Amino acid sequence: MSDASARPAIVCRSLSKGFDGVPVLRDVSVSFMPGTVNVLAGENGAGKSTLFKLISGQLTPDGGELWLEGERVRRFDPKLAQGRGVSIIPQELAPIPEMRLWQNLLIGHETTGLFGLVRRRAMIEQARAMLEGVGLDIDPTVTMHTLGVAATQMVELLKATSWDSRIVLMDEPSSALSSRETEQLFRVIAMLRGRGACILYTSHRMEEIEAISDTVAIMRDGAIINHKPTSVLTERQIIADMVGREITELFPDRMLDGGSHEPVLTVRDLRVSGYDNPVSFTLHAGEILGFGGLVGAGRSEMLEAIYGLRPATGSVTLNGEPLPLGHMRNSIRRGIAMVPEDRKLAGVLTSLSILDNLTLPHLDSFTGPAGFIDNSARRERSLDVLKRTRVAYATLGQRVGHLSGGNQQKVALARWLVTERPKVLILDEPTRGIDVGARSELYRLINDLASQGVAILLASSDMPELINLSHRVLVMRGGGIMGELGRDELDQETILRLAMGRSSTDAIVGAPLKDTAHVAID
Amino acid sequence: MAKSALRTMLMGCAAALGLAAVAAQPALADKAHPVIGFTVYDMSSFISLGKQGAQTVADANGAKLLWNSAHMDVNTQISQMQQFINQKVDAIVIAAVNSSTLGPQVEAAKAAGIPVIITNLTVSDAVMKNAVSYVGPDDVKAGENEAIHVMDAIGHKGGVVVLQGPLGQSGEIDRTKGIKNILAKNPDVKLLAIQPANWKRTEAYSVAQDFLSRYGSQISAIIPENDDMAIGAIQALREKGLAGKIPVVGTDGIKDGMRAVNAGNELETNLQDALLELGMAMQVAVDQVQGRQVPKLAMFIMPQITKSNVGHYYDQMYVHPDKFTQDLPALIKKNLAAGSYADQ
Amino acid sequence: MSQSTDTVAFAPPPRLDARQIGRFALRYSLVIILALFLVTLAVSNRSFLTVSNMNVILIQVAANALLATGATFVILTGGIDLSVGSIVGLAGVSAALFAQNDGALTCAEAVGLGVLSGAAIGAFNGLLVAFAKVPPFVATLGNMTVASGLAFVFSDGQPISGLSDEFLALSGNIGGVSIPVVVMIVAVVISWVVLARTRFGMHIYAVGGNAHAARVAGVGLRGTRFAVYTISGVLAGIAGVLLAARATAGIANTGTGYELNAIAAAVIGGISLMGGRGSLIGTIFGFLIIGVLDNGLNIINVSPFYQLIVKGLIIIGAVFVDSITHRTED
Repeated sequence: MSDASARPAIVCRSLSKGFDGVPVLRDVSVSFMPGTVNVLAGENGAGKSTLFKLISGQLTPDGGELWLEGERVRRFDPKLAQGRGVSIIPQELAPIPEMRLWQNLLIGHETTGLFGLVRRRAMIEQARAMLEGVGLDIDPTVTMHTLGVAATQMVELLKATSWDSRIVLMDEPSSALSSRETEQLFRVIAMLRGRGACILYTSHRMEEIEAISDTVAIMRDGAIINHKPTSVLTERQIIADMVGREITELFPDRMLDGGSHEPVLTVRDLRVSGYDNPVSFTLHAGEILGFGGLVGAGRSEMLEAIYGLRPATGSVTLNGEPLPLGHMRNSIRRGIAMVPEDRKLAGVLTSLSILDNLTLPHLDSFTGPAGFIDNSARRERSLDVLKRTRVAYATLGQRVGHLSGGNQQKVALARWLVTERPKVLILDEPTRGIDVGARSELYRLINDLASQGVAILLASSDMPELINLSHRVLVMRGGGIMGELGRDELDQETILRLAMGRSSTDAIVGAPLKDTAHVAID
Repeated sequence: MAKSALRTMLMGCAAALGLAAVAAQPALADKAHPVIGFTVYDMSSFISLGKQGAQTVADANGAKLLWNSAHMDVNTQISQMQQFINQKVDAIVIAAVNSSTLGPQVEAAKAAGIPVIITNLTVSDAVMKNAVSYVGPDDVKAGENEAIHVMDAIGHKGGVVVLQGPLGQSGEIDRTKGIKNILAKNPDVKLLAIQPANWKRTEAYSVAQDFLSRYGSQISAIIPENDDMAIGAIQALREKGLAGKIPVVGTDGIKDGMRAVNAGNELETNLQDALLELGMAMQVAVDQVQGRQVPKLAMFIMPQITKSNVGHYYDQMYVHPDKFTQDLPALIKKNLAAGSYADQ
Repeated sequence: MSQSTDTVAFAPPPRLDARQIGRFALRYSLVIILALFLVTLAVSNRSFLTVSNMNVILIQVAANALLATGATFVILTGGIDLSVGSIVGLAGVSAALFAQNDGALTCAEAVGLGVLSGAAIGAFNGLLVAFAKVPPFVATLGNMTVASGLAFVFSDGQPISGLSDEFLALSGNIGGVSIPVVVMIVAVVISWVVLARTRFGMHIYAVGGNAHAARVAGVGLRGTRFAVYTISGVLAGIAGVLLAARATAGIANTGTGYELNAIAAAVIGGISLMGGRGSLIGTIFGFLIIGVLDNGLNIINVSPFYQLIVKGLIIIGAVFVDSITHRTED
């Protein structure tokens, strides 16, 4: 930590900002010192992203003052902010998929030579050096869209921090990363702090807050509630400040049993194209079967194959009858439901209303003999399911894009409860980017569904979530299953060991170890 | 794309071009079997029908017809001209997109020894001076015929409205001129309005509706410059219960136009026969190539069709078209010899 | 693309088998189509593959090449420019008005005014799209009509002819090569350098690839968007002036429908209508294919009706192949 006499890197004085008359930031006054890592904690909608956008010049405040390194900001402009040494790593990854990695890294910082032409070779070498500097072994001339989420994230991080950044804003940088990649991220953060940068960081993961932060600023309803050194705060207090009430228990009590022994879904030698190793397992009614592994281990792909979204070979049996692969509509009809990993891309249609989102997969059952949709039945069922899932919303006609991330995710889940309960529910990273309050409600909902007999497949990179929700965990790597852990054997270290391809004392079933080169890249 | 592969491809193409250039040979000229290039403004229904006439005459003469459509684009027509010159065709027939373009290309054709025949639409003098012949309608006369029939029907007094073709096309310019010639001789007839409806039924229908509500009973007659617009105007009249009561005239002699004449809804039309016209353009081109005498100006004085003679033309063109096509080469030769080009 | 993606782990070692040849054929289908077409035409008709006919084709594609190059700039940012066809007419009329024999202005001034009229409409498009946030389709659709109206007003609906010899010489030759062809080559080469090798070019791809990311990276969205529409307008203006010289008259409705041919050339060349993907090299193949088709189908005397069908199928086929190759890459 820096000494108290140093000038603060960021000073906010009574900053306020509203959208369409709705205040999003109220009277925010806070300051952050150079050479510190500061976590900005708060539920989604608390105003963290808006504060970031003001500091990075993307938005202009309605009132108040912003001082950066002792200078008052009068014109809010991304380019000017960048000139002042402000970098932002947005929550939503913002790569330019069709451009090369080096172009992504260096856009806005081109090296030009004669006649203003860009010096490609020099820029490619510069990009290579930047990647090597943080231990990433990726060819800078690859096209961006060929990279996986984690690698993309690291490139974004590099892009934002390589330019003599004195103020670095990170909006949930770890939400898409597995544990190993998060460690890599922390190394970069430590390096930046060592250089005297002031880092603002938002995260929903308590263990991260403790691991890296010097101070914690807690936001709620657009205001800073509390700002203290991390050392004097407890996890319980942080959570209490964030939600405005004490959450006694993040995870609900698990059912002791772990479901009946009646098999619902049997998967045999399922081989997803692009992966060499087959997967076999059995899922029982009322069971929550977790899937652990690093990003790129093939979990999402395997789940999508079962859902029928992705071509695969092998056999899947649902309630004793074979389920044809690659026929998503058939899978839905037979009672398989999926809440996909990227809710913006695949989970909900943000431009449509809540009502339409909830009933889209079930329009057949609301369509009368004349071919017209029975709107009253549709509304009735939707209202019922929204109540059960505790979605916070204004009207049924509200656009889903206007809901908070947690509520969007609840809608994505709730849509499968509108008609009869699914037999198998597939959840892929169900709580990514979702705040603590909404998270605990989702957990409770998932648990309730399991207790009602729904068989659940859960893939998650959030270790506590995986460990606390699952009855059993299968750890995947390179498309195959590295090991199965029963509830008593579940701990973070064992899962990680298996995920990284190291041997475990526990029984190893499935495929042998594969090459490790792809892990960082996926 | 991988650049190296692309470069290889490009070099391959370039090499092929170079080789071919060395081996380039002019097209074979054979006066007994001449190659005639047609470039027409567009594949309108008139031109599409005319193409059959040109083909029939080409077959009868052992000539080869190359047919290009410019899709109403000046630039495309210029390129097609250059292409024909480049191909060394024996003669070129043009139905021009625009009357004032093509000057340099017609000149270039002449310099290359390729005769140019203009058809269907007139062109500016600067273009015409290098062409050997014009084969096409006397649109001024057609306009005059329309107006004369109307004047007689309304007793040389009252108000008339005129529906024009697309402004600037020679058909529109000349027919409008003919109509105005006659109006000038009838001081008691007032020209209430004149507006383009672009040869189209639907546009004529709405323009006529507008006129009817604006001028009402002041309108004694409607003068559309072609049959399609006449049909549109008749429809507008029919909705007011005025069809057959207010005289409408037309030009072209299309099937629906002749039917309207027969039914008494259209007073008169002037027959412009596409088969005959483009067929004759083809014959003139072949004659020129083979060294026969050709008329500098083959003006079609369009036959006037009224209720009294519509039966003959309708039968000839629409009931037994095969026979007419069969006799077409002989008819064209007869008309050319007689100098009365539009007889049929 | 292929060589670089191969370095990512998972990619199989390169070996030549039937599937690879198939993929190669798909990827270079444009070049192959063009080559096959050239060969077929050359074999079937000896007047096709001659220097003079190649020159005719190049002169013929010159205007569309300029427009398609402009379209490439605009489409790469994720936009569209429907006004270029009308700009061609407007620029032709504007230049012709001042290039008449009795005109007070020099030929260069007349040409400048013609190009300027295109630049003005282009800049107006740019203002609407970049600053007023009017969707590009709507802004340029509106200006398509405005430009066309202006052209009719200036010319009173009549062809503006009687142009000075100096102006008409713009459709002549310089050093044995046709001036429109020289202009086309210069414009395409400069544009290629700008797109592939300059900061501005990178910004164009970035804006089309992900506007938000570009903005965060400090790329000026407004400036970039404004610039591409202005460039498109300037190129259309140049095309209009050249066409007026060629047609020996400025005619208001010259260029009607040209915008679609330009967009078709870009799309055939693999420029994604979503923006951010494609290369001007592709566009070059696009307009060459269209030009060779127009010329070649006429030379082998294919009916105009069937020509329309062939051209339409080529456009669909090119885009279909493009989507297949991109699917297999992903």
